[in-house]
Amino acid sequence: MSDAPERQRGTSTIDQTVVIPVWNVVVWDDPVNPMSYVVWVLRKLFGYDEPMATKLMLDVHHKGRVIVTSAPRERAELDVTRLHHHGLWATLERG
Amino acid sequence: MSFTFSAATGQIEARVDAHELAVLKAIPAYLASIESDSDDVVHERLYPAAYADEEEDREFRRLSHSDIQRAREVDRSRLTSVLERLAAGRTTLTEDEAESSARAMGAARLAIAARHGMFEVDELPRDPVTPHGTIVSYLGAVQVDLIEALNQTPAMTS
Repeated sequence: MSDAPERQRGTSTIDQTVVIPVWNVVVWDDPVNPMSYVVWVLRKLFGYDEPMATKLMLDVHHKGRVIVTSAPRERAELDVTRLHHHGLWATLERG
Repeated sequence: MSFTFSAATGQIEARVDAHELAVLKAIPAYLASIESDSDDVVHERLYPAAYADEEEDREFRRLSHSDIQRAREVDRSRLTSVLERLAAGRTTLTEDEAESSARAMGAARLAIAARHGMFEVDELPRDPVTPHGTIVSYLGAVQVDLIEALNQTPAMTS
């Protein structure tokens, strides 16, 4: 008699990893929104501390665009909607 | 116009001169008029494309446009209420009213700037010489003052 555990007929274990595509939320530079307003929006919407929000704002200003967050599509679309409500020019890109 | 956060009341105190109030009172109606013209160049800046792909962008706009429109209506309504109370020269704003006012003034600046091609420069001139440039500059100063007051609220300092 074998010591191996008896296998139940018809059952198996399959490891499954579900990969959820990530989308990047990109904010683009514009000459109209004040820098302090952009920092305030990034802090308020994404909970960044002031140094992080300021860094992102300066990246937008100097590089023309910056990824402010990445998330599954539905969440990323909600973030873009909120950014548009606040007057920032934001777009979505596949991550 | 000036804004000051009061730690004692937890509210933002606003003061305004009568001639400034007359200018500010035009903002809600101006913003409402933009909402009714979906082909307007200004409308395109207030509701920009989210996707490079046209079909994906159409679907995004279908789902998001009315939400943003309703939120902007709330902003205009709150700003109108604040401006009515400011007829006395001073009033206090809740945090929601301050945030809505900051967004509405920002939307007005974006709208005027889009209408007059002001997005085609890297930076706005510090000393504007045109009437629309002067208004955008003035509203920017008011908006920045409001943001400085909002940055003093417990939500932003904790």
